[in-house]
Amino acid sequence: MNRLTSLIGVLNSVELTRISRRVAIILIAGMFAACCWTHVSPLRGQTTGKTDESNVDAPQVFEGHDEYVYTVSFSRDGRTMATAAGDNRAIIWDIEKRKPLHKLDHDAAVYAAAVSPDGLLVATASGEGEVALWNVATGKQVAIQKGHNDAVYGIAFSPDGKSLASAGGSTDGGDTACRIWKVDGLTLTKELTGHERQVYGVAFSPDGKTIATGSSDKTIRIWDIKTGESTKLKGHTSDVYRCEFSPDGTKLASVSQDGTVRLWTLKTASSETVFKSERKEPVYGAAFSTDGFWLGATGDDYHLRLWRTSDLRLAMDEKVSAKSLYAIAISPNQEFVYVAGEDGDVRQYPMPQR
Amino acid sequence: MSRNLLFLVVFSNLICFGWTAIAHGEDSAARNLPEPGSVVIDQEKGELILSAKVQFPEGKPCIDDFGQRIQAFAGCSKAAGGDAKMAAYFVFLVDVETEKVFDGLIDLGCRPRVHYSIQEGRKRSGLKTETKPEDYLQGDPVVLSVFWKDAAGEWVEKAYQHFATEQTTVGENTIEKPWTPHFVFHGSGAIHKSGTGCIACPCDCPGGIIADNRFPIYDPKPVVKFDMSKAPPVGTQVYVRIRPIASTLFESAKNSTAADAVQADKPKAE
Repeated sequence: MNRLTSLIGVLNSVELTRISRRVAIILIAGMFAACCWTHVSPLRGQTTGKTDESNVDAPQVFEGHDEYVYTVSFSRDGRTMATAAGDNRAIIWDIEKRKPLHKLDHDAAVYAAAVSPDGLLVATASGEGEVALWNVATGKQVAIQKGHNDAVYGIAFSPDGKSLASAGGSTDGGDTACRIWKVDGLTLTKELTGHERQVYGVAFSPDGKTIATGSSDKTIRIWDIKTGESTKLKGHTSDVYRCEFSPDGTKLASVSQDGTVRLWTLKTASSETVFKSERKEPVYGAAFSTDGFWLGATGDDYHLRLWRTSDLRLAMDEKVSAKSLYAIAISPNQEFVYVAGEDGDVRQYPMPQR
Repeated sequence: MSRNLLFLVVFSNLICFGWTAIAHGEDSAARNLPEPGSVVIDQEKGELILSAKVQFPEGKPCIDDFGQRIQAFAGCSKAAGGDAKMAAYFVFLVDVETEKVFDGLIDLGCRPRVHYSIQEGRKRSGLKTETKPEDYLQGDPVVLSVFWKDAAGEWVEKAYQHFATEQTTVGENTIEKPWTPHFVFHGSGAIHKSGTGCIACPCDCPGGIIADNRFPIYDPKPVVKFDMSKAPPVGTQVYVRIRPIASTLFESAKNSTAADAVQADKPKAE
């Protein structure tokens, strides 16, 4: 307001005519209103692409994959990071040195990797329908199951680390069952069936009682593990890729081929669109920070975006490269956000200020 | 007065006759163009015509800039029963499912020979000393062109490769040359239901149904630039023409059915 009055004062001092002074005052008042709107609008940045983070440090790059990194996953303590890629390999990383610690070779593309909560195991999901467990310390395979008839796209550990969920399918549907495995011995304990097309995303709720799956049939299903019954979340207009529970379990973020990021309130099964890409570029990856303060997403417009979940204000919007981005993860200590995709590099960016 | 009336009758008849003739001519031309959501299979000319709209995939690889890409420049908005995964990448966005384009080419007697899923393609990727003939996608050769009405209402037709330029290295120098792809109908994208929507890819890629198979799958990929200034304005209605050199012309088409063409899950070497 002080700036506005001083500007009006300047206008007075140059002895403008009454009319031109009025016009100028109206113009400045308009500009001031626009500034205020920009400052308070929850859509700020979303529509303009601008953020309140003007200086983003150059990323640190983890080189090890040739191409197509599909997931980045952390252990609960943040000491173990695993990636899965289309170069038929998963990698367990030495995070400090930014070098591969163990390379886990497969006979087909690895579409997902998850680190167990205790950081001792990595689970991988392959294009040939295999689910495998690997010892983080040695990099040796400890168990493998030809668990699916088609490619496996999603895998997740339960919060207690005792169960593992996996799901996939083929373009015309195929084997779309979400299977739950006992980690000890990798034995099948439950099969959740219902999706009509392949399943890309699998996530356990923080209490471990439900599982969310995102499918090419445009729906998300929330499964009650005990009963095997599911609730459909409808709203996306094309394939749903990853889905992630908020740490308090009340919300679910989903990303889709339809170019949107949606945030679902699970109690009411309603959603709001957090983001819609400009030219319907698909959004492939989503991640919450461990305290639920941040929600991040990446996709086919090559941008990394972070929103504050409290008001869905865009806090970071960075064009990462000229290649598609499939994966995003926020380190458990919430110091860094990691993105990766088609070019095979994993990039580490510092998180924005709160 | 009666002479004037006669003149008026003759003149108006001439106008009506002329208009009818023009309209009939336009109808004839229109009959050979697909309605939205359909394809024209012209058995007489041995060609397939697809309806498409021009879009500007700004910022995507190879659009107004040299680069490498797997996505086609002409592709379908729908594939494998859903939205095509690569629809945002295409310059010429065709309004039918990829599977319909595949079926049309099969109807014309065009046959895929070596086709793979994306998974299998990855395994066979790259040019190595042990690379075998069956590591290349193969099928009957095809020729593609795009035609549209220009601002003056005249039909313009350009070869698919007219819109792009290729970059290559000679010794230590990088030079530009015409884009000289070798397109074959391998059919993989429809046979293995990749869902990408790609029709004709600028490299050897099993995601689409037609590939430039000068090199083995995925690696190396030609460095090309699609020049948007050579394409009609965004939103223009265009038609993509595909003319196969169908191998079944030399055999009984009845003895080589579509089922024969797609049953081969295992690689087939020529």
